[in-house]
Amino acid sequence: MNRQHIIILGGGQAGLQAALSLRELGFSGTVSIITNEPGLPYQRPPLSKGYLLGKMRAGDLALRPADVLAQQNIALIAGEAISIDRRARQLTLADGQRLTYDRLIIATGSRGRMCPLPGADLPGIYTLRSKADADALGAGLALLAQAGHKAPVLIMGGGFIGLEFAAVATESGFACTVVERGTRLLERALSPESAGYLQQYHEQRGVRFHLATQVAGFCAGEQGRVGSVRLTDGSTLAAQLVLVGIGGIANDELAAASGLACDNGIRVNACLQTSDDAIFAIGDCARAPHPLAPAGLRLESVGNAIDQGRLVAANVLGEGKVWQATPWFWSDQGREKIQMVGLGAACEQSVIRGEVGQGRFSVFCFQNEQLRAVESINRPVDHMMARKWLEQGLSPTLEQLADPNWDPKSLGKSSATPPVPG
Amino acid sequence: MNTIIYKLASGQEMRASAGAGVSLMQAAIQHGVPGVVGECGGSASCGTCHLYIEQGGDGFPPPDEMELGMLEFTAAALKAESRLGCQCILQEEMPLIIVQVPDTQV
Repeated sequence: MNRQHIIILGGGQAGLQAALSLRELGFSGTVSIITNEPGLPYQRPPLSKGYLLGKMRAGDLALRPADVLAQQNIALIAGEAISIDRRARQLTLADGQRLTYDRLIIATGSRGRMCPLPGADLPGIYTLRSKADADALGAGLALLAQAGHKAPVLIMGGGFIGLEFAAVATESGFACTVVERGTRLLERALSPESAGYLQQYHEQRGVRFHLATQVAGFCAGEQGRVGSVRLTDGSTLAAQLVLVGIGGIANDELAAASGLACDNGIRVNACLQTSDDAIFAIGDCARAPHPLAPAGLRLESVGNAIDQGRLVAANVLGEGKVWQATPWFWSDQGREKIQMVGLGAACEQSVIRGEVGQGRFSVFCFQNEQLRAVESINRPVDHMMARKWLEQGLSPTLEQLADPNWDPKSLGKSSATPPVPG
Repeated sequence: MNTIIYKLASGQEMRASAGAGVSLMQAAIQHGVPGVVGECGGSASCGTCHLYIEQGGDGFPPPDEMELGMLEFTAAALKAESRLGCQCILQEEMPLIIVQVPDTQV
């Protein structure tokens, strides 16, 4: 094993974590990361926040400095893989280089979905996923600022990326409009209570929302850049910059072209192994069965990238660890800290603890009388507590949570529920 | 530049230097200190940069309510010297800082 070559395709958070974990687990063979992005593996969360605001420089984004990678003997190879020869266990790069692997870990991530609407190719329309995307978007904002307009910025999609960007755009002085086709924000991600609170927060900062509204196309304005957005109801909104934040697409094309099973993400088993024993897939590009979603779940989050990076390293080295980590996410929007744990989409009942009016509350979401997910707005203690509960399979009752005098720390410590050993 | 000594759970010590504005979490990551994870990149969202500050930490502002809350749920035991490394931002010319890295973060 220790003379083998493990190639990791993709140098994002998941790919880097896999490489670091292989070394932590004592693998002393060759570890190569192939990346099609310039520079060192970097953090993505700040791209829609501090980095766009200029509070973080490009150098601060690096996940690990070059000398740490060198010390760990992790080779970072810049290149674009164009084919996988599974029989020969060979990767071919665009420059003709051929690399032979014993095990391949695909961690190619995802990209922002672009809408196939008329005018979508006009300059001034962006997606946001990579550092290159953020740099282009930042340059677009700078161009508007230079022109000195109070230029209106339009965001298509009221999801996390869109709302994080709305906070940045308003903080930078731009008038900002969000167009969302759903009847409320964050429909697939958050409860109506949390989404309603966030809408109000952004409205107070001057963001305008058009819900249940769809974009029909983009129209050119000055200098051939986008100038307005046409809606399906026939009306038009001025927009000198557009961010399209309507979800992500798994970068699974190369895997699919090499015959690996894909379905909106590379299909892997619970050990993160693809239909080829020598190939694994992790992070945004992988769809794996999970105890909460046996048919398969594809997550786009840092927490998942790290979990799966660690897990795949162990499995590549011969363990058979099963992916069952409790999903967790966070979003920072202006001063609002939103933390989520579990999967709450199918929840039927919820209890709120804290004060919605003061912007400090958590929504505890239940399904079949079991706690499934918790959303915390500026209540990190609830989030941390809920992570422990969900990881340990503990669930308070709706009645306990609804009682403001109930002490959540008592859960798992009462005589009714035996304490978890250790 | 400030000097920080990270004492690892293994007994090994690692020395790092970092300027003002850098957090104890970032300095650890930049020097490849094992045992400091920092999953959320420093937004006090994950609790995986837990450190015990043994010496030289008087110059850091005390933890706010949010940090204290997070610390209650870190993987290793909460002690009086516990801090989240991401919330301890180095200033100019601090005295030698010695921190113990807990044996687990997750």
